[in-house]
Amino acid sequence: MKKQSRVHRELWGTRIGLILAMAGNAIGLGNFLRFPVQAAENGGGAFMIPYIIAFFIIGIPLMWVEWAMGRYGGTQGHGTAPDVFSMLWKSSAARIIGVFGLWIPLVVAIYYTYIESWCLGYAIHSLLGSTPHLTYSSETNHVELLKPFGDFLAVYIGSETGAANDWLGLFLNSVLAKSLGATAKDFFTPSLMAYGAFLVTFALNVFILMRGVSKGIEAFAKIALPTLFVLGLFLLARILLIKTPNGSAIEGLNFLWKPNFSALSDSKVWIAAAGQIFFTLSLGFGAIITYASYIGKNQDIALSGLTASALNETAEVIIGGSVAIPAAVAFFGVAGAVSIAQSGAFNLGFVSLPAIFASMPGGNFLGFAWFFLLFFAGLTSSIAILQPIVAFFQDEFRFSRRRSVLITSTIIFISANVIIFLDKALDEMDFWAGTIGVVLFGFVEIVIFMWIFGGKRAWDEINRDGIISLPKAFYYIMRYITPLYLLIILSVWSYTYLPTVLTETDWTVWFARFYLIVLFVLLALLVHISGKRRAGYGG
Amino acid sequence: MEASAFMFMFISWGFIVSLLVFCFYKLFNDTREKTFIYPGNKKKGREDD
Repeated sequence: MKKQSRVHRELWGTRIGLILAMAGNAIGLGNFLRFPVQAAENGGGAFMIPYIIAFFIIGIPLMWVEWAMGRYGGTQGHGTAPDVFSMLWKSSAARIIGVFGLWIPLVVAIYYTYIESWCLGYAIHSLLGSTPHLTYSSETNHVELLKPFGDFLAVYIGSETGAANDWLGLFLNSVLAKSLGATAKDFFTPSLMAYGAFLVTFALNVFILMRGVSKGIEAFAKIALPTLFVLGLFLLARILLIKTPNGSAIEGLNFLWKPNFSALSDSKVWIAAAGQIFFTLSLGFGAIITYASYIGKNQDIALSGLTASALNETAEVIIGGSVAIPAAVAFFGVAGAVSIAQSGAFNLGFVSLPAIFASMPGGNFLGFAWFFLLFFAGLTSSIAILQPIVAFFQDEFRFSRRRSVLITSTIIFISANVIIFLDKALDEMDFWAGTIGVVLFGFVEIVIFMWIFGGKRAWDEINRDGIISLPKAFYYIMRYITPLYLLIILSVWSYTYLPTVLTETDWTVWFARFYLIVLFVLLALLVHISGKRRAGYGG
Repeated sequence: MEASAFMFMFISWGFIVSLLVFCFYKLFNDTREKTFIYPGNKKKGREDD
């Protein structure tokens, strides 16, 4: 118990390290896969109008709010939502609502780490030349060309379980499985590479977190972010030179950026742009609050936060917008690229891009560069969403870093196996935590900070010791416009997606929902115990 | 590339690059701290394990 007397928390070693780590948190797979698909589907160049507006009225304000909440919590040794909320709002409800700030990153980390590991697996496959070979012909339909790559992904993650292996057969013959009505289709049987890459990815996350904030996260961000930008710019330069009988990458840029102003009259485009800004800046995940809690109490957040956001936008709009879609247009024409974009971001990243690289000279290396870029983008984000759980055990239970990381990684490892082997579990977790959960939590954060804590106090806290002074207009945006816009997004998404999601009644979906509730109850219990412990020793 | 597409790309890229340049210009010219290194932080790290 002697460690309970220690109050010193780690701090970022350098300002550039903090900015790169925060940018690394924000720059993820979505920058390179989700953004180009959203832009292509929602008005092309015209999409940038609602996108930039959303950047200023949702992204930047909520980002500053999270940075300020984190720095404020860090001054009293707290880096996670339950205790930061209770500092801002003297109510027992604050800690309960704050549990969502632990639950969301925990759930997202469970599946994000696995998806991130696909990038590592595909990077290795690309380097070894073991992805399917493509004999490109401009006359062949893109669906036929991409089929081997779609099959490759299905085998990689084991979604085609026609022939059940031994362990699956044994399980399916068990009384439990029969009573649930389980069949082979309910389970994934991932390839050895998929599971091996997951283990390596998981170990890397644990290794970085074990080394701590400054020597682990910050040191890694200083390597990963420059590497990521160099790889991105290299790919951008190479992709822009592509020219095939079907088209060129420049035509791809034309397709992506050509404005369709009629799309602006569609409210879905404005919601899509706001959603993209929300996801790309990693708002509502609880990670920014934790990272910001390691900032010194008199150090700037206004300019540092803006710089991290600007780095994220550079990766997203300049690099993310110039690789995937332009390459798809060059190889499959505009019609093919539209069809690919409509099939989703994962299809674009893990089916279409490997096919494109496989048909290019030096394709193995280009494929490796692409997936390694995605892997680094994913890794800098996954350590950020794992850190809130680690920080919770460190701050509120006074556990050592090693012990905190071990507890966190055990929970994540067990839970990740649920989504690795159980069909539909990943989608269910992504919907409740990674889609609806983050927007709801972002709304709660801004209401607690700007209304309950108090608008003037909040504004002063954001501006305290800032290198730049924020324009007063942002005060009104944070207080009125951002919460309103978030409420609109939340209502529209709930109205659009909930009816479909709630009609899912497979036992795998119910299992995932039950698991999510168990995780929430577990975290709520831990928050309750930590509160009692602190009251016990007068903390 | 059509003029309207080029214009939208140019404005978007220009906006982001300008924002980035502005941020780093302000950071480098911050007179309160000599460099990007926070003074004194190294001594404060938790060494509990």
